[in-house]
Amino acid sequence: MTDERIIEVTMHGRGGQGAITAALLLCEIAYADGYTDVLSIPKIGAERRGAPIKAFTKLSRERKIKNYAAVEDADITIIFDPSLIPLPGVAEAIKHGVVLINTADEVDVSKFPSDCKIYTSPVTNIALELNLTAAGYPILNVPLLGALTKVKFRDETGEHGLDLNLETIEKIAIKKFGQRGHLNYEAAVKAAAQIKEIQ
Amino acid sequence: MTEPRFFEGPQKGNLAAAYAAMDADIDVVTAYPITPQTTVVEELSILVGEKEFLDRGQKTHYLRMESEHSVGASLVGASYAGARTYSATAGQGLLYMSEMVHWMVGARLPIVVSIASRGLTGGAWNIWADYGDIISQRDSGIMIQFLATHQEIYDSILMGFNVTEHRDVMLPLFPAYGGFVLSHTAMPVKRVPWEEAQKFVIPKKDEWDHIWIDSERPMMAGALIMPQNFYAEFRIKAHEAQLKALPVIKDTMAEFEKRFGRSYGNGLVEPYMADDADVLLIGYGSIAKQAEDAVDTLRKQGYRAGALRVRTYRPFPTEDILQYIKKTKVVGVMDRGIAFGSPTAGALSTDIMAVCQRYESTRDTQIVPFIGGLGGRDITYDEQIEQFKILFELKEKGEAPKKPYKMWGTYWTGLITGPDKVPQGDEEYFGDI
Repeated sequence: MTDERIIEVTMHGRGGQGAITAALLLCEIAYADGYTDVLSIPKIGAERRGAPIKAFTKLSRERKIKNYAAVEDADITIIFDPSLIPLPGVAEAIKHGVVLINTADEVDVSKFPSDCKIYTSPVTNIALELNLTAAGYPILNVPLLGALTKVKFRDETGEHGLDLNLETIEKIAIKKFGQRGHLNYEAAVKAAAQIKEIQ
Repeated sequence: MTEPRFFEGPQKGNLAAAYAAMDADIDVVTAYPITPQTTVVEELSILVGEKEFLDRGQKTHYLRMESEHSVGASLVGASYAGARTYSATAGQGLLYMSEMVHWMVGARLPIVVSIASRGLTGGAWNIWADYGDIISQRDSGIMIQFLATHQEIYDSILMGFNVTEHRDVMLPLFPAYGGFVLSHTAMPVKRVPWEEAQKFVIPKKDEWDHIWIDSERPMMAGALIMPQNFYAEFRIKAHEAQLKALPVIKDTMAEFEKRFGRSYGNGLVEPYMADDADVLLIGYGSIAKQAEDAVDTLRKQGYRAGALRVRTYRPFPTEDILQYIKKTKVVGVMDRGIAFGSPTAGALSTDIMAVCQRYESTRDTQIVPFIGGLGGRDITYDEQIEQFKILFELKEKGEAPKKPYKMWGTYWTGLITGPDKVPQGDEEYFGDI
């Protein structure tokens, strides 16, 4: 067994889309799934609905996480809104790993490194169809994490990676959101089923 | 009994603080919001009515105040009456509370106020991690601790009253942790079961030995002390109490470890591979914890690096720090906060230079001051490796290397001058938001 590398996740969203909550939920799900050390980092500034925001999660099964700095070279990048892709520090900052994008449309993969695996899932549509909304806005975070369960990431050694269970998402969503958790879970299942590997 | 809504799992630092205060059975919390502390008092406003605590007969009074100065004043008032009191603040809020902070010390009140440290403001606002706020209260007589993990926030506030209310101490404690770095990030936190917490926390008293509010036994507080009276002696007593707190903090840590199996060094300092280190990097807060990753890497490459985290800063653990400095001749000291115009621009590095004069054996130790992470700028792992490399170069060549960011004898880590720190695109405008 080689030394475990800490799995690092970056989430790009717009203020109000739930990326910061997603980073925390990912921690809770991973912790329930046996990751012993987890860290969620919201990059918080002046809160602005619609402005680009970042949140990070670090996950580890054995090693203690001691580094609270922002993730610079993410293993997994989740993009909540395809309009963020061309912005500075989004696609151009990706050096390796896997990318999950919330979109129902074609994605110009030339913006991403050619050896990255890229997945899409039409999460906004799924949330709107199920009426999973808050103040009219679709809720994206739990469904995107549902899609994440189908994303395959292993580190260089192949020994460590991301393995999340939809069942855990159900458990955590119901614990956090009560009855609404069931709807969140339903959306997560659909998002996982509709995932496409586009590169 | 009602099951707790939260007992164990990933939790934000601020919420860990709120739960710890409740588990320490505080009588009074007084509150005023300020970023990045706000969610501490927000969560407490929920917890004081939480069934888990009400079912167990715990009663906590929650006072919303109109400013931090009033928060300080109400903490003082409640504490005069013998109440176990807690609040939290940060940055400018702490500055506004400052007059009452000094009052807490002068009146010898065992209050705990946690600080989600943030940059101080003037000219431009900053709300991110920087210990300039708590360092500004350094000489007020409060006890200051720097916390480095989410679990440590919970544990330290729970332990806090055992120190402050100890007969030998009777001084306020201000545990500080990095704003956003710990306050808003989440990591696994485990509470102590409520019943066990009650057995651990120091038993409550109806009133303090030296001050009370009782109409049958009127007492005057806040009188004028003439120069020929005891003002100087009272001040010296507070200094004596600071020094007496050193063993109390150690004993509290030892007792906590015995009961709950967790510890943070001896409560004063936390060494990491410091016993046989050729060079030692001393720091505080989460950056000092992060330095342990750099130590691991350097050890694997054959360099004997070590780290020492100062957990208790006031009272200053002179002997505990010197014990590790004695073993090496090259020591870096990392401050995250600026002491304008001081010999090194860092409060801790200046202190450490001073205590090294105490013994012959530490007088020729080379102290290298570092400053970085101001206003919440990340200190990266690579930058910490570079700090160690500077120390090793000094050890091997006898001379500290020249760097563009070395100014006035201090290395200013992570400045926007190096090739990697140049803003790209419109990053400068968006900052790191």
